[in-house]
This record gives sequence, C-alpha cells and structure tokens, in this order.
Amino acid sequence: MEHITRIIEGCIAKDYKCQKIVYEHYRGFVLRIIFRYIYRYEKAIDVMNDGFVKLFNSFHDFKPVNDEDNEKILMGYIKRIMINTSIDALRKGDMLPEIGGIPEHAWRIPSEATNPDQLLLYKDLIVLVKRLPPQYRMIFNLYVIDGYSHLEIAGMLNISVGTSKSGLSRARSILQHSIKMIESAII
Amino acid sequence: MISPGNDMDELFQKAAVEYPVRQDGNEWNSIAVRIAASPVIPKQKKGRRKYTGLVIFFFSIGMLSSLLTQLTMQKTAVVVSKNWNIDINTNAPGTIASVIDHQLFTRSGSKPTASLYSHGDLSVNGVRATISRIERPGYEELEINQNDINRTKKMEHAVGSSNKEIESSLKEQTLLLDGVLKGNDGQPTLPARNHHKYRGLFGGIVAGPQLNEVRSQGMGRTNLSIGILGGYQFSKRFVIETGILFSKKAYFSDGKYFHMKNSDPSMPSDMKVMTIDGRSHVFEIPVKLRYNLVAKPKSLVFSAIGFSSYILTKEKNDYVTMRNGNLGQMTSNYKDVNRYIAATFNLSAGYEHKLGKRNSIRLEPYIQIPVKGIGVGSMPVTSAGLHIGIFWDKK
Repeated sequence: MEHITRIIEGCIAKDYKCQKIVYEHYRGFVLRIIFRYIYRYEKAIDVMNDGFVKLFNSFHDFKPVNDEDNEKILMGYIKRIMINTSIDALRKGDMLPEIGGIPEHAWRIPSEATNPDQLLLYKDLIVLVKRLPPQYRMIFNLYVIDGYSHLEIAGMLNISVGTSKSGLSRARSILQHSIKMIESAII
Repeated sequence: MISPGNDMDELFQKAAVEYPVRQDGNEWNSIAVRIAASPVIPKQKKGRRKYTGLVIFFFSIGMLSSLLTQLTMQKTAVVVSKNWNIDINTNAPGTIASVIDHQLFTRSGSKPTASLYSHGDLSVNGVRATISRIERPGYEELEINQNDINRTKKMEHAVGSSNKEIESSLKEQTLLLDGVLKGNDGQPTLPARNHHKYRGLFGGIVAGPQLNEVRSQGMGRTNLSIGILGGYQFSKRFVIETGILFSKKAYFSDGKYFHMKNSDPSMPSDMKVMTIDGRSHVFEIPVKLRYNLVAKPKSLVFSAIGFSSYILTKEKNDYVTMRNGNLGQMTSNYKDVNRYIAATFNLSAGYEHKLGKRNSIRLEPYIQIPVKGIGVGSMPVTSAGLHIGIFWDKK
C-alpha cells in the first residue's frame, strides 16, 4: 500500500479517512483469516467488524518503524488482533461444534481467475479445516497456517502444551482421513 | 496422494492465502459509528496488580506464621547430666517440667539440645518421651520411647519433686543408648522392635492426578482420582487392600477402536466414527495384593498387583463422523450405569513414611492396563497416575 506510514499515522490520530482506507484494503485479508476460525459466514463478517473496531481503537499501541517494514508489521498486527477476536468469539460460543453446511454464497471464484480448479481445491481444503471440532480447528490454524508455536498456542487458548500437540495430531489425523476419502471418491 | 506432514501443511498454507471467500458488501459506516462511540480504554496494569497482590499475600502468610510461631513457642529448660541431655517443656504447671523450669545445668563436654515439643513432651538425646499423669494421685510418670520403639520406662516422681531428686532418679533409670535399651550395667535388655507392627487393619484417603489414553494415542486431560482405601496386613511383607475411588476419565481415540454395535440408535449403520473424544465418570473398586519390599521402622517400600472393577455412571462422547463422504460432528450423553468386573489389571509401587505412631503418608504411582473395554464403544482405556494418601492403622 502506498504511503503506508502516513496512513498508519492517520489511523493513530483517529482519522476516519485513513481508517477507511485500511479497512477497505485489508478486508479480504482479514476475512480469509477469520473465516478459517469461524464456521458461519455471517458470523465471520460480524467477528471481522468487531476485529476492525478493536484494531482502530488500539492503533495507539502500534509503533511504525520505517516505510519498508511498516506494511509487514501492520499486517502482522492486524492478523494478531483478528485471530484473538476469532478465538474470543469461539469461546463465547462454548466451543460447541457447529452443524449444517456452508452456503454457496460464502464463496466466489473471480471470473478473471486463471486457475479456477486450484481455487476450488483450496476452497475444499478450507472447508475440511472449518469442519474440524472448534478446539482442533483453532490449534491447526494457529500452528500450521498462522505459525504459532505450541507454547504460544497453550498461552492463547489456556491449555497445556501437551493438549496443543495432541490436538494438532488429531486434527491432522482427521484431515488426512478426509483427504483420503475425497481422493478415493475421485478415483 | 497427499502425504501427512510437510506436504499437507504447505497445501493448507497456500489454500489459506488464496481460497475464494466472498468479499462483497462494505460495512464501513457501521464500523465508523462503533469506533466513534467506543471510548479508548488505556491498558490496565493487571499484571502489576496481580503480582503486587501475590507479594502482599505471601508476606502476610509469612508474618502470620512468624507470629503464630512466636505465640506457640514454649520455654524450655535444659537439664544436662553426665550421660544425656534432656530438654523439657515447661508449660505444664505442677509437673516435672515446671519443677525444673528455667534450670540449666551443664557439664564440660556436654551440649544441651534444645528442642521444642508440644505440651508435656520431652526428648532424651533426641529420643522422644512423654510426661503423663499416672493412676496414683500425686505422682507423675515418665514414659520413654526411642525411635518409635514402643517401650515404656516409667519413673515415678511425686509432684513437686526437686530438681536434684528428679535428676538423680533419671540417672538411675535405664537409659536408651545407641538404639538399644541398656540397663545400668550396660547390657542390652530388650531388642529394638520395628514400629511397623504386623497384623492389623488400616485405612486412609488417597487422591492424585490421573491420565488416560486409548492404545497409545496420546493422553487426555489430567483428572483427579480420589477415594478411600483400607486393608489388612497379615504378615511383615503381605498386605491386602481394597477401597472405592472416584475418577473422571478423559481420552481420545481414532474411530477404529470404537465398537459401533454398542452405540446409540441415533448413529445410522452407514455412519463411520472417525474420532471420538470421550469423558466418563467412574467409580473404581480395586483389590490388590501388596508386598513390602523394604520395611524399616519409619518407612517402607512396596509393590502391588491387583484388579479394578469399574462402575461407569456417566459418559459423554464427541464424535467426528463420516457419512456419504461428508464429515460431521455429534455429541452423545449416556447416563446408564454399567459395571465392568475386573476391567483393569493394576501395577503399582510406593513409599510409605510414618508420621507418628499410627499415621503415615503414602506416595504410590500406578498404571492400570485394560482387560476389558469400557463405555458405549468398549474403549480399552489405560490409566496412569499418582496416589498421595494419609493412612491410619490400628496396630
């Protein structure tokens, strides 16, 4: 994003225009993070909006460094806030497993996409992740996709390191089973 | 075929960045309203407050303990004779202790051993003794026990005897030296006897953490096992024990160890259980034979084998299922009471230490190997844990 440092300073100063730019620019990035954690599309949108409110209310804690690194640092900062917001939302739901399918209107393959088959595959893989029990889903997302260590995950989810490791192993086992079923169905 | 591990992880990482989620709709206006309405809350120094609270708490405990120690600390008098040192508690008015209160006699080469004991107790060269009233009015009895040898040596003194009379009387009596009672001529009179008397009933309460797993698939959440145990020791080495314990078992398993035939009717026959997260409430009745490997006066080391029967009162399972190629989830609660006789084979080893004449504390790590499956899916649950217990005996 151009003039990132100025935009960040604007957000720190609570300039709505800068905040709107950040919202519109990172909306897709944020939704892709949150929709991995939150099962329902509508609920994911709500959590995303909550996340942006938290982000803009806590921008004074963000410390910009230099133009080159600011965008990466900002994306990391946004990601952390959105993940925490997603975890809070899941906890409020008592970590109950969700039922029902994911409606087709939650997905959209751009007409200009050069590799629609690959996007469909990615969609199916994310659906498999979303169908994991909430605790396994969180651990798998945090460890495999978002790059947190088991120690960090244990602190975030208030579980032991052992529980984090066993949760990851179980999530992988379920996903591997599911992938095998899909592959054998295709064959 | 996608292999587990790095291949799978990389695929999911790519999918997470590029998967096609719909991003239509712009709710900036509602977000802007919320931002405008919400005040900025400065970060609270919760951490500092928490740590300050902990410091105050532990400081208070320390001050309180110190104060209590000061209040309960009792004056002692030390009487040292040629052969032994005696520290006597002086809180009992009209007793031997009060007669020699604040008296201190030393001889060259002898060092007093100041020890604090509860009311009416004394020590002779570190040997515990008690002062108690005897049946004959006006006289007091001094009972000496060395290293838990239950040997009484009684010396009678009229209440109000002078220091010199008491000292002289104590000198004349049988003294406890080197762990063996010796008479005035220095010859041993009675052999030391192990305080662990044989043949008797005992009982106690135990509690401790327990972990459970099904076929080495990883331990579930740590839970507590608590209950009462009792038994009978019928020789120096052999003890039989039983009791009743309550524990919550939590475990995870691949669906292949879950036997569908016992499951509930809400599970269609073509539904496959992929994984199960189980929790159950279990009353356990162990029966075990204990062998004392090492039996010392104040401690013993033992090993035990036995069986446990279970009464399962409650079970809750979270299933991940597959049906017609679709993954699903379901949770089932089962409240039927089921009994499993000799469900596990138990192995344990332990250490027991005497706390007094009749009390002891026990540490016993154990493992329970399943003989039968339990629960709706007949899950073979292995349990391992540690029991910490306080026991009393009637020996």
